[in-house]
Amino acid sequence: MKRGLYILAAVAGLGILQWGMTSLLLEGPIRQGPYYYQILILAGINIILAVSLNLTNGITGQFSIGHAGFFAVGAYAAACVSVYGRPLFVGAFGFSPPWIQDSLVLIAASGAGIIAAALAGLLVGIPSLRLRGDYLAIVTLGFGEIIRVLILNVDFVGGARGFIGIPKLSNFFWVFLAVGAAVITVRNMERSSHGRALLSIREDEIASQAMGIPITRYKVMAFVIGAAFAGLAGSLFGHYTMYLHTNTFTFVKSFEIIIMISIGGLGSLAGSILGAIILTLLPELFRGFSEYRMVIYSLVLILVMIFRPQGLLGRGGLMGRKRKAS
Amino acid sequence: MQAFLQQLINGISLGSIYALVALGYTMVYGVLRLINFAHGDIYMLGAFAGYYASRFLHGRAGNGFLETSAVLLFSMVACALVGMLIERLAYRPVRKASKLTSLIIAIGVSLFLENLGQLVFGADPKFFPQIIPEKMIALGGLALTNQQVIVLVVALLLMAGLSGFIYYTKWGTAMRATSYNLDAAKLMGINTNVVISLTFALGSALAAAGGILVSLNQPGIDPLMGVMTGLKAFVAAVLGGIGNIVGALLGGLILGLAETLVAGYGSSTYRDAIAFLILIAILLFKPEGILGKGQVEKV
Amino acid sequence: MPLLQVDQVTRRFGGITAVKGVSFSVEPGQLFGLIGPNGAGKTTLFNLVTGIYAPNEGSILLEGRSIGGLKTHRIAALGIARTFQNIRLFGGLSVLDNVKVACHMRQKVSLLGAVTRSAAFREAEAETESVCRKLLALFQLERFADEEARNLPYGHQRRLEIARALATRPKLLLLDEPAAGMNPQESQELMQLIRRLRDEFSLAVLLVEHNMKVVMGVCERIHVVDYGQSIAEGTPEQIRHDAKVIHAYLGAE
Repeated sequence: MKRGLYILAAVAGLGILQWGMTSLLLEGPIRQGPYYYQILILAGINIILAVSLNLTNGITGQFSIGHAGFFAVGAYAAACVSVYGRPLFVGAFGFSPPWIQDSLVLIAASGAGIIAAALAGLLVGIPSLRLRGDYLAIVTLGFGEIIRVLILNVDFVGGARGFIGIPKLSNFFWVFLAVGAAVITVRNMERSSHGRALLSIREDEIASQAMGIPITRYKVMAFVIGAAFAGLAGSLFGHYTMYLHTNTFTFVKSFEIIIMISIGGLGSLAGSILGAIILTLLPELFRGFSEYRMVIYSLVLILVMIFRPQGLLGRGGLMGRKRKAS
Repeated sequence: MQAFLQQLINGISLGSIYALVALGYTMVYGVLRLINFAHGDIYMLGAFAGYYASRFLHGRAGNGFLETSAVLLFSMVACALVGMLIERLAYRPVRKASKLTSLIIAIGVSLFLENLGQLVFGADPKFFPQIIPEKMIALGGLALTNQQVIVLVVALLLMAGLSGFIYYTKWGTAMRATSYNLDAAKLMGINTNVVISLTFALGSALAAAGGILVSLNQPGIDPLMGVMTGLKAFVAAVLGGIGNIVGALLGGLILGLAETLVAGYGSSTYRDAIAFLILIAILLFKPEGILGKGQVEKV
Repeated sequence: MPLLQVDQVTRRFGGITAVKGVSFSVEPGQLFGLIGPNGAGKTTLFNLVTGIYAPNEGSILLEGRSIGGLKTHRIAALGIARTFQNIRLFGGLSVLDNVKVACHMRQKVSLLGAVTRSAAFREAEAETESVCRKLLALFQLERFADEEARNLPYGHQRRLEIARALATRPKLLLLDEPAAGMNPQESQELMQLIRRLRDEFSLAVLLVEHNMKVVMGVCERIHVVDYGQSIAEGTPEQIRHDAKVIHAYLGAE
């Protein structure tokens, strides 16, 4: 009962923040308001992507470089539901106020995005997760590209022109509600028996099996959950940008997410969040020097990996303290 | 029939380029167990080195043949140096660290080279000057351009040269020994650092050659040309059996042929996808590749 | 019925026959030794029993039930636990977590329960915590509970590996060269530990070991292999005087 109240309070708090963000940034006096709002939204989406990839790569130790593929599947599936399915909603719930209609559409679309991405995760994961480290990396890279090429060739989601006309249904509230869900899910998973099972797979697969952990089943589970959250992020993304094009979902995006979790510290939840925020802000800070931006990015990544491979918040923490799993 | 043979030639030509680049991937993986994501960008650098070299040399050297050779040599040496530099600065410091770290650094180097290229060379394509004027050669009813012949001949010579080096010289044997067991090689008195540098140098030189050869047929070069080709060459290496030299050759040819035939007879939008489909198929059914041997982990 | 029955088991790797037609059985609660010169196939036999390899020929039965070829985690669930020749701890995890992982298959809490922190989950976690701490205490490792496993000294790591294996509540414990790298004092303590384990946890122990003092001192029955084949079996006294065994070892002690 007490926990239910906490959750209600948190949701209400988010609602208030949403109202605050809207008044202050979108309709209010702050000059660059809408721009800051957009950064917040994108940061939130990147956090979900980073945290979900960290579940597979950081916690379970499986090197997947195809996360953008699930991001794409979720985005496109959700967009299909809201663009092609919207008339049904308007028909069924036409009597209710627009914000309820919009919420329902977003929830339904996101649900579709999550399920589609999870299915994709299952299809990719089951055959791939038997493979050793490097091979898994390459297979996931390949699958990510194949997903992208397949979507590119499907006409009713826009093909090469892109998918237009997606209603703007996501906002600060929904994005950060999802962020909360993602962070809490991964954190609670990590600090549980299941989380320890995943960590043991990362540490030593053979010993893990010998202790009774069905490793392939767990790897697939982590993979599918990670994919599902990426799908959620995709839905929220599409319903914010109102337009989707496969160029957003190339392996460069997958690399970006890898950079986020690596800089933050592979395996560290806080690190993934930090990495996502840094990587969202950095391009904006470099707006002026946009040609040098990517050059510096990549240089920073190389240097961080050479001199502090555990990332900023990796095992050892900021101050070098030890981190407990549970 | 004619058209089919024509496609065959195109496929072998393309396949040779893939093979040249694939060799670099496979050799580096063989000695370091590292997938050098930046290798495709060395191919790109090779093309650009050749571009600037040929602009410099244009008209100064006597004939087209001499000029091309000079350009090729310059580009191969330049990229060999770049390859060794990258290994020394970015990969060697983390050689003892986890494979994940090395992979991420390789991704970083790749992104760095691509973006630096865009910065320095400019993102728009440059056009390789035609050093050797195009001439058609009729061969039993088929029309080949002399450029295609050059690609085939040079590629073959380089690969033969590499094989000769690897199988018949002391350093080549040292490379093979290192690829089987780095620590044992060290204990045998082999300076593995030198061997690894050499591996990078050779691989990069071949990739550079690939970059030049491809520019003969397709004169437009840009800083991102290494991305797709690099990925496909990597697929070729995996297809043949990563770590296996003959495998890289085989994989390259098969991929080149498959791609050309699919694009010619199928749909060209799926041209790029064929590489990934092959990749997934091979990794799911025979991950060690056509000529590779499965590695069993000792418990 | 015997706890473990290995019957005419053969295993090949390419052209090499690592194990050929080996048969032996371990009774419940027995201290059983498996010895032989290096390369004789002892670790391969361990790997066959624990499901890392499947036998090419022959059968392996646990309490009458065929386990040859089953997946490792299934065999662990059926009651066989092991330690490894080159210690395989979860280095980056804490000492306590290492043991907790081994409790996982006994702790049946759903993923949803874990994510929502249900009452059942919290109860199960508390129980696991107490069980694992008690186990650590038994091995005098409780003060290292929060230490990263890889930071432990060698001897402690070996003890931790055994503690971890015990957390799976096995009927049969496979110890792969547990005395490796130990001095005489430590080996003596190990021998006492093994006997205590058998008595307090009612399990059988299958021991692969090169240290003859430990083998002869602890095992009730010994099976000897050489070049993948059985060459002798009997009590320590019988084995000590067996001509074939002496020949295989050339009198090594």
